[in-house]
Amino acid sequence: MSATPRDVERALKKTIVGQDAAIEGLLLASIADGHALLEGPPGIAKTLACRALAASLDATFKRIQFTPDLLPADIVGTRIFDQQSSRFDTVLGPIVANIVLADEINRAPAKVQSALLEAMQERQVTIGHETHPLPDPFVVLATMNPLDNDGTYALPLAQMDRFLLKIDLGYPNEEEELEILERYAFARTPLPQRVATLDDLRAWRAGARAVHVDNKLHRYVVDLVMATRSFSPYVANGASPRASLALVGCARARAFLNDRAYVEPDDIRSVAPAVLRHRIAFTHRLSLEGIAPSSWIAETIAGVRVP
Amino acid sequence: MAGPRSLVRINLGLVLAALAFVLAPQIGSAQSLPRLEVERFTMSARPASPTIGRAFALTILLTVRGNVRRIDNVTLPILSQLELRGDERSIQHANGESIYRETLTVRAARTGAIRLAPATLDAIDARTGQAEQYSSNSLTIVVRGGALQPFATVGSAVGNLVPILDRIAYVLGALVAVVLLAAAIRSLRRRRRTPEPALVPAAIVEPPVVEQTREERLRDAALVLRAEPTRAVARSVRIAVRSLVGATASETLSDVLARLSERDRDLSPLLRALERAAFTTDDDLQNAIRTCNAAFAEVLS
Repeated sequence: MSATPRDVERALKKTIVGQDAAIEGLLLASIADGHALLEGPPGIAKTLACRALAASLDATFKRIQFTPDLLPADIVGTRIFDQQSSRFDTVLGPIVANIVLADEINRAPAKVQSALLEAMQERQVTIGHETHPLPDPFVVLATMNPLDNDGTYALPLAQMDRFLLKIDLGYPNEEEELEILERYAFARTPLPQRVATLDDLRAWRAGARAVHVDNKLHRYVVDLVMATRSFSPYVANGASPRASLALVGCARARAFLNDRAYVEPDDIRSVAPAVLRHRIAFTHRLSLEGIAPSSWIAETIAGVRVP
Repeated sequence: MAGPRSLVRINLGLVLAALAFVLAPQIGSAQSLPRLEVERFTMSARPASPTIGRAFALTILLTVRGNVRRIDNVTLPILSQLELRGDERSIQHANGESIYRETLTVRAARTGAIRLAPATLDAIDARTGQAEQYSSNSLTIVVRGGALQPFATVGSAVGNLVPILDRIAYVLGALVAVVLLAAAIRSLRRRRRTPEPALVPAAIVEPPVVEQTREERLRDAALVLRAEPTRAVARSVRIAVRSLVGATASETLSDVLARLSERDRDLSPLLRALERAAFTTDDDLQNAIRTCNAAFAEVLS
């Protein structure tokens, strides 16, 4: 019997304590064939979650630590002269993997970020005159630390838009923190065993694409996105049409995750904060008035009539 | 065996379901919503307090800006306690406005207050470009008992007595009227002799408001869905059951389920089943409706 996404979820939960929403977000991004941005303070298992996802799917995994001196060639690869054969050989960079962890993506300069984001969009890299397709599936999971922003390069909105989801991770609660101590105080954090294959992931993607979305729900998606664009003193730019597509894609993935062949309004409402939060440019007035962007988004979503 | 009231309800259900079927294409396709600038949307009854057994008019009036040739996605409220006798629609154009008028000829089968939910219209607001659901006012009709009301509800065996009883009632009514008139004249004369404080108008005694119980509303909804198992009817029934548990327009199913009261907790499977029927694929629709019917049966058992 082939594996289900819930098998992967269970495997991740054996390794990661709490962070249920983040685990679901990683699965949704993988099933919806998108990339995810993870933001949270240090030490809350962002990197571990990505490693665990790769291990459970038996996917090739590469981690790139973004630093200010990183170059595009360090990511996509370069051509090196081989003295023995007297010719240039192509050496592919760490981006050629099924799951790529771009750790602290905002620490690298814009040129490097652009190289990564271009590869994310095109699903191929060009080195010299040669174009190399990236493996399928190809999922980039980028992390950002909201603290220590000195010396970082904020991602422009247009580049943030390329990420299907932005997953916010918070600190675990008391009980979860105690469980972390009991599990890992004296032991290395084990990665999960393989519970599914890349073929399974491809099949899940096909299944999710076949999930039915009613016309009324398309209208609901548009209403949600339009609500972010309606006049507000707190918003400079609302969500893009890519956000509408992302909402439908993620809602399909969530319906598939829940063994349904059709999308319900709940699916859309549930994924909307993660899909919209990094696609809206807020004005300074929002922070001046002490309003959290997540609160504004939650309020806006709650104001849209459910079909 | 089904009683006369049940039969009336079943007939109503069929009629309503047929109406819903007519409206189905418009409800089913959000992409084809008309762009309208709605100015007025009202529902009224004429007369406001009809008599039991007599037909009266229920008028839905929708005024929109511009010259609109066709409006066909006005959703009527569930008229489970009224017998539908006719439905006429027209659009008139005047002063740059289009006035849509739908007149339903209905008849009440019982006395007391009958509450009608608002009629609704799904359209794109031409001013903002956003999809809106417009609602008319809701309406409470107080149905008064007629002179023959006690006899009209008796079985056919008593039907032969009706003309005789009619005359007796007529004579008795005339006598009561004469007595009341005499009392009024006497009272007026007395008032002329001794001035009294200003008269307080006598309170109009309305028939008692008979609220439909939760079970009755569920039973009506179940009947309507069983009579016409279509997507449009499933959606109407979903809205009716959601309103029964106090769901607001911006709440999703999980919001509603999360705050269900102890009393309504038994409706969870029904709410889930209706959600499925509202949004599932066409292939799965009949299965989903069968699940709804089973959930209704479970709740009503």
